[in-house]
Amino acid sequence: MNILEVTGLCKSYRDFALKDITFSVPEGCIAGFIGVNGAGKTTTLKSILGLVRPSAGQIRVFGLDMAKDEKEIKDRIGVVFDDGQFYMELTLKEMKNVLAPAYSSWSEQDFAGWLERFELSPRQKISELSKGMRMKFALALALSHKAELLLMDEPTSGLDPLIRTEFLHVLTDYMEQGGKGVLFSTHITSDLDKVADMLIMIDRGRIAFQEEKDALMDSYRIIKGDPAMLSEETRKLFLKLEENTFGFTGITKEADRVMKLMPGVLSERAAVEDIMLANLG
Amino acid sequence: MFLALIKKDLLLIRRYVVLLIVLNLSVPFIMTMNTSFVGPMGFFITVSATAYLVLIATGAKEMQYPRAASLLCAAPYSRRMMVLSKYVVIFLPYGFSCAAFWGMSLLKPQIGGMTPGMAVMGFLVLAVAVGIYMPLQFRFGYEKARYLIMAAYLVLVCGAPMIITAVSESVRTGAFQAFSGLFSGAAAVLEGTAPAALAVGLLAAGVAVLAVSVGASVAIYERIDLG
Repeated sequence: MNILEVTGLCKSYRDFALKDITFSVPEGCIAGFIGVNGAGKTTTLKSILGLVRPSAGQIRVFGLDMAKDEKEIKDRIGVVFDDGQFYMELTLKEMKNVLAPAYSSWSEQDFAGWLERFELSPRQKISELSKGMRMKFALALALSHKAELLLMDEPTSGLDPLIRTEFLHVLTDYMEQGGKGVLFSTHITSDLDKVADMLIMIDRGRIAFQEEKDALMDSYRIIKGDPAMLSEETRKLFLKLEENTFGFTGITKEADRVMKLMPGVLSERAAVEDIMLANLG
Repeated sequence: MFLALIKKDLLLIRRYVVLLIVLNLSVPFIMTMNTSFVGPMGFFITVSATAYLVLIATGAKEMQYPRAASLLCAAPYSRRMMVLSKYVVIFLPYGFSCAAFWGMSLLKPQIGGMTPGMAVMGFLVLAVAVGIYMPLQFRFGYEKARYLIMAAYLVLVCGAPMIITAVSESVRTGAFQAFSGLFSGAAAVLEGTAPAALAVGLLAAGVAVLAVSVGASVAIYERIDLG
């Protein structure tokens, strides 16, 4: 069952447009939403949340139509924005008191537990928190009302590796509860190497691909070899190719053919970042 | 749920609370130094200054944290609720202004007392001012709305002498003669209306103005893309 379905989503601005965005996130899946800066990740997430008004398309969450059941859907979604988007002069407790009454399943116990785990004091002012602590607070808010879907916009950007790792552990713990889903937009693809089950790539306002991560990573290979081995025919097999006098590095979806035509080249597993860069238009 | 939004705005403008209290207690008192009778004019000035201060303070805070509204709208708060809470916050100090003016007039008889008519009239004046301003703020944002209001105020101030001259000239030449029946009829109706009924009518007019303004603000805010 799909926990989130986006169909034919369009939104136009003067110098940018989302065009026919269609993808889905199945239950039990952490979906990485990747793309370079300005590709349309944030606009897509904001359209899903009804913060920007799409010109066309349908958004269904938990099988419900966002246009008709917005309140019920939002009650079951946890949201983490890149910089938290808080009223910075409030304390953590005051900000929580603003948001908590909006959720029917808010749990003070869960919230206190998360603050304790993240070593945050409810009396602290948000403006006094570091970016990493603010993101932990955002996560604590998103996880304290039994959310079934987490929508996160660049939650790990600007965080140090330690906090990012902790963040990813929280996500995997969350998924272990079962019946949940995560859509996680980022351009730091190494995070997705660790936790994502599925990857959705957006490029210049269009969906470039949506595939299970393992299948996707199996289908791409990094090939390294001597430039002398490259011919007009073999060049066509690469999505992206970099050459210098010492060698070439290319990424291909036709590794078997490449290996057959170019015996002796080195074949390596591609990282999510390699795949993303290879699919840029 | 709704109360949480009101509480949020009050928390954000808490630094201005002392200023609001001082303003409400001091303006009528200061006016007694220059005039023997403060009366309704003093009350309207106090109420307008209070509402203006709250409007400016809440608007400035939303401008300071432009993306915080997105977080609230990503939660199950509807945009209608967000708009309504702003209106409530602006009208909350009105009750305090009435009470403060009444209290001050007991201490200082020159202030002239507080009548239900003044309270209702003050509400109507405030409803019209806020009713015009708020949809502009939701449409153009705090900064631009403030400039628009300032521009309108300047036009009014600069144009006032011309308007007064034109009206005086019209009265002198009898241009309003055709409406004299209407004016006298309206005056007769007002004279014949019980004060309580008049107060209810003014109150209803204020509520109607606010209802239209809230409707317009909600329609505008529902269509806006949040950052």
